[in-house]
This record gives sequence, C-alpha cells and structure tokens, in this order.
Amino acid sequence: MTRTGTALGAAWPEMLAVAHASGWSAALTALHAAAGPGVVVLGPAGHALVPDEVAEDADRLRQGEWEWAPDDTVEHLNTGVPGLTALRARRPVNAVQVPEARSWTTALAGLRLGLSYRLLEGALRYLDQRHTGDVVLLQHSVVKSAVADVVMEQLQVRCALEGAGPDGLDAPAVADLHAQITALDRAGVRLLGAHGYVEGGPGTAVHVSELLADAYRAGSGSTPGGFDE
Amino acid sequence: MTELDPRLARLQAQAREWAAEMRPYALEVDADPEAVTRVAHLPALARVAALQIPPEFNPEPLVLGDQTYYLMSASERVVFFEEGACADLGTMLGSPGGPMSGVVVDALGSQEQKEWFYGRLLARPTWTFFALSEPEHGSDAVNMATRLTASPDPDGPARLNGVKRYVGNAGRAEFGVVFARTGPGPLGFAATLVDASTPGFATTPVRTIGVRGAGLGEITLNDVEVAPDRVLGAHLRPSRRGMAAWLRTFNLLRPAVAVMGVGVARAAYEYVLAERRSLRVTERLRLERMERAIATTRRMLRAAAAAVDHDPSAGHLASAAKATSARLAERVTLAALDFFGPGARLEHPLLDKLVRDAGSVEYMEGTSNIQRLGVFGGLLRGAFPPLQAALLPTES
Ligand SMILES: Cc1cc2nc3c(=O)[nH]c(=O)nc-3n(C[C@H](O)[C@H](O)[C@H](O)COP(=O)(O)OP(=O)(O)OC[C@H]3O[C@@H](n4cnc5c(N)ncnc54)[C@H](O)[C@@H]3O)c2cc1C
Repeated sequence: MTRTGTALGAAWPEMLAVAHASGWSAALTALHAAAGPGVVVLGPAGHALVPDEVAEDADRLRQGEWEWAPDDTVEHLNTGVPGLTALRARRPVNAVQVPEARSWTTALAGLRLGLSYRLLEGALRYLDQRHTGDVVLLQHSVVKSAVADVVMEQLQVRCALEGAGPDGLDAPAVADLHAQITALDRAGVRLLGAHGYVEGGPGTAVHVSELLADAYRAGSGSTPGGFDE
Repeated sequence: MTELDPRLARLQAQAREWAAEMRPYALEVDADPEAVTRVAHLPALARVAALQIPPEFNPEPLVLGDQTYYLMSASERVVFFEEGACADLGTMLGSPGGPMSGVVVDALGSQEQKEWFYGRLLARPTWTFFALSEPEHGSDAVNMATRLTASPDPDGPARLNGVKRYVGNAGRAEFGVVFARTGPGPLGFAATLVDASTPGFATTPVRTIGVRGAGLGEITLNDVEVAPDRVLGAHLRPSRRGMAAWLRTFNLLRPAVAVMGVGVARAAYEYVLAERRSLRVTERLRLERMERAIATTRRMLRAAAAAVDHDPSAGHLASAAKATSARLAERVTLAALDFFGPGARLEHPLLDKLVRDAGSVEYMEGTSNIQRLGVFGGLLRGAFPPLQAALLPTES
C-alpha cells in the first residue's frame, strides 16, 4: 500500500533529516520513495526532478490524484546538474485515480530546510578557516550578524512547519515558505564567497533546491524578488 | 530608459546592435564555455577587444558619425557594457581584450610596458587575465600569499610563486596581470605582467554555476620568471604603485562591473515582456516595479561612473551601485520566474541561465559586504552630501 497524502504531510522531519545528513540526491530518493515504491511525483505542470537512478527505476508517474505508467512520451530535459534528471510528462487518458500525495510540497519544504541547514554548516566551516586581517571571518561581527539572520529565517520556516498538521500546510502558506527558503539560502550561499558559485560545491545544492521549488510550485506565493505590494 | 546625451546615445545604439548578434549563442556558451572562442569574430568581441586602449596607443578607435570613442571612461563603459551584459554576460566576460588588466596597465605601466601590452591586444583578438584573488584570500587580498622574490642579480628576473583562483579567462589568456607581495607593509606589493607561456605557469579550469563563458580558472605560479621590465610601475615611486594605487584603479573598474547586474536584470525583465503578452493587473504592477528598480539602479551607476571619471579616488558611489546592482540582478531574475508557470526554469532555459548568471555579480570586484565598507568610508568623508545631486552635471 502506498503512503497517502496524510503520511507525506507528516514526513517533513524525516526529509529534513535525510537532506541534512546526506544531501539532495539521497533526500530526493527518500521523498519519492515515501510516495510509493517506483513512484515519481510530477509537479503541477508535469515536471519531475529526480536522481538519475530514480528516473531509471520509475514504474509509475503520479500527478495530483492521477497515476500512470511511464511510456515513451516522457521527455528528459537538461538540468545541467550531474546526477539530476528532469522529466516532463503529460497525463494520459488511461491514468488511474489514487490517493493524492497532497502534502508533497510540505515534505519538500522540510527537505529544502534540511539542505539549508547543511549549507549553513558548510558556510560556518568555510568562514572558520578564513581571515580578514588577523580576525577569523566567522568571528567578524558583520559575518556573525549575517549568519544570525539566516538562522532566524530558518527558525521561522521550522516553526511554520512544526505548526503544520499531518495534512501539511495549505498551498499559499507552503508557497510562501518555499519563497522564504529561496531567499534565506541566497543569503547563506553569499557567505561562501565565490566558493559557493563553483559547480559541484555547496552552491549546486542551493541551485537544485531552487529548481525543486520551481518545478513543484503550488500556486503563486510571495515572489522571492520582493516586487509584490 | 535614463536620458543619455547624444554622444552616449549613439554609442549605446552601436553597442545594442553588436550585442544582439551575441545573444543567439548565449545557451551554447553556457553549455560549452569554449564556444566563446567560436564567436570571438563577432564585432561585440573582436572589435571591442581592440578598444579600451588609450588614445596614444590606439590608432583605430570606434568612430560613429563625428564622434570618437576609446571606451576608456567609466561613463562610456557603463553604457556600452550594459548592452553586452543584457545580451549575454557569460560571453561578454569571456571576451578577448583587456577590460580589467588594461586599466591597471594604463594606471601603472611605463610607456614601454603600455606599448607591449596594447600592441599585443591590437595585433589580433587576445585574451588577458587579471589575477588577484587566491584560494585563501579573496576579500582579504591585502594578505595575499603570492610572492614576487627579487633576484640576487639586480638585472636578473624576479620569481613568482603562489596560486590565484577564480581568474576569468585563465585558460585562454596569453598574458595578463598577476598581483603579488614583495615584502611586508603597505608598499610591499607589485603588479606584474606575466606571459602564460612562461615555464612554471599552469592553469586548471574552475567550472561555475553561471557565467560559464567567463572561463574561470586557477593559476599556479611555480618559480615563474618576471623580467625587471615586466614589473608594472617600476618607474613610479613605491607609494604610487602599491596597494593604494591598485585601489584607485579598482574604483575605475567598479562601475563597469556594477552595470553587469543591471544588464542581467534588464534581460530578465525584457524576457518577461517578450514572452508574456497579456498580463494580469497584479503582474503588470509587479513588472512596473521591476522596471523602476532597474532604472533607478542604472541612474545610480551612471552617477558612479561620472564620479570616478571626475576623480578616480571617488569610488564610494560605485561601491553603492555595485552592491545595489548585485541584489537587483538576483531579485529581478527570481521575480521573472514567477511570470511563468511551475517548471519555468526547465521550460525557459534562457531565464534559468539569467537566474544563474545573476549570482555572479555579488562576487566580482568585491562582495556586497566589502562594498558596504566603501560606502561607509565615503559617508564619513562627507561624500554623500544631502544637498548635492548624485549625478554630476556632464561637461560638454
Ligand atoms: C564570476 C566571477 C569572476 C571573477 N573574476 C575574477 C578575476 O578575473 N580575477 C580575480 O582575481 N578574481 C576574480 N573573482 C573572484 C572575486 O574577486 C572574489 O570571489 C571576491 O573578491 C570574494 O572573495 P572570496 O570569494 O574569497 O570570498 P571571501 O573573501 O571568502 O568571503 C566570504 C564571505 O565573507 C564576507 N567577508 C569577507 N571579508 C569581510 C569583511 N571584512 N567584512 C564583512 N564581510 C566579509 C564576504 O562578503 C562573503 O560573504 C571572480 C569571481 C567570480 C564569481
């Protein structure tokens, strides 16, 4: 029996833990596995982002409350990230109705928060090794303050998630959380200087996290750019 | 768009025409940075490579109607490079020529050094590097570890040892400027002209998330010989060639870096305009806010360019413009995604590229925290007077 939406809504701490301990690939594998063995979950416009092996092993695609077997109409899109496959599929007429993975985006927010914690820990290690003059960068008050800002934002996201019931958060709330995670990760990655801009480094995990938020976007939340009223 | 005087408006029109020819290759260069060398014949690259050379060394400036342009002033550069950055920042950063190193050579080089440097640039499109940052010292470049050690023989070559990282065009450049320490104290610095073919010089690529065309790399310097006449500013007093002199030079560069953020932001804004024909009211308002933010930042950096053209030590406005434009590029590119449905980054590769490219502006020529220090220093020096216009009146 596959897990239903209810179970997934409560799965965010587990996703957070895997993402924090092992990074995006393991966490995405766990998240799709939580939706059911062999299941790849598609976003509202039919996109999925999965580790290569998960894409290869997929025997069911799920979008909302519909499920079907992948066929040769499934397209592979370029992500530019080694190990990450993007799929695009359209729901066929013979799709079957299943219990919806309703709280997928809440679980995904947990996953992204786990990646965010991992990012910050990496930044702390980096800053502890670097100096400005004789001062260790991590002990510089400007840097401390920037770190604290990230921590406070993470805490807000965490508190919002902890307030979610087993059904997860509603769509506008979770959309806002995803925008908030994007913004706080941008602040986090800046702490790494150009090291955070090197492919395959911590900045790539931030990039993957943003791609996930984009593909599984549920409705429009606040725009990360902050050009809303 | 901010009003421009007719002279700069003409330059802008030419830049826009050239830049448009670069845009179709943007995704190709993103996928394969070496594609830059295949588009190096486009005027946006080839012609520009032979500009940014001072009048005494450049027999072939850009002539448009009755106007002549050398792209030596920050005011010309910000107008010109906004177009390049808007068309494709990666390709622009991967262009041949001496956009950064040439400014240092102009400020510190002797007549003979300038002839050598600019002469090589004029001979054919040639890439150069500007090697300052190191793996352990980025913002903290003052404490760089790269050493230039004098030869015991006064006429013998000095030797460079160290590692430089995140250097644009590192792998494709034939020569460039390497910054090093010669000893302790504020005067113990030297900028040197280094040929990439010198024994002991090696590069490895550093792949980046965006602006891949920039071709960043790490340069290892292992006992690289530097002849006495390749040390920039050897003819100057030490106080005129040390760190303080470099910082003045960086002020001149900063507006041209700041404009990259405006160019990328404008590209994302124009992408939305082109791809989304009908907009809801809230979307239209949001797009208008984006446009206003771009226009205001552009004004800021034109003011910054005019300020450094007037006085090269007046880099505080450029610092403000650079930090503002780095954030602008991030905000506008992210906001642009929201005009398209879920999966916009997969469905709109050009927009995805702009989001990735935008991140680079934060680091080039100093992070926002470092720029904030420049702004603060300017404030204490009274450089932001409440009753004075930011934009200097143009001299005509
Ligand atoms: C696309 C690109 C092109 C580049 N091209 C070149 C090039 O051609 N040549 C070259 O030499 N370099 C180049 N660079 C490197 C660039 O100059 C450095 O990345 C930049 O100076 C920052 O250094 P860093 O990356 O080591 O960050 P770090 O100095 O390690 O900074 C880490 C964090 O600490 C903060 N910080 C550091 N010091 C302070 C302080 N005193 N106060 C407050 N906060 C501080 C920073 O803001 C940042 O958030 C390029 C970088 C990029 C991304």
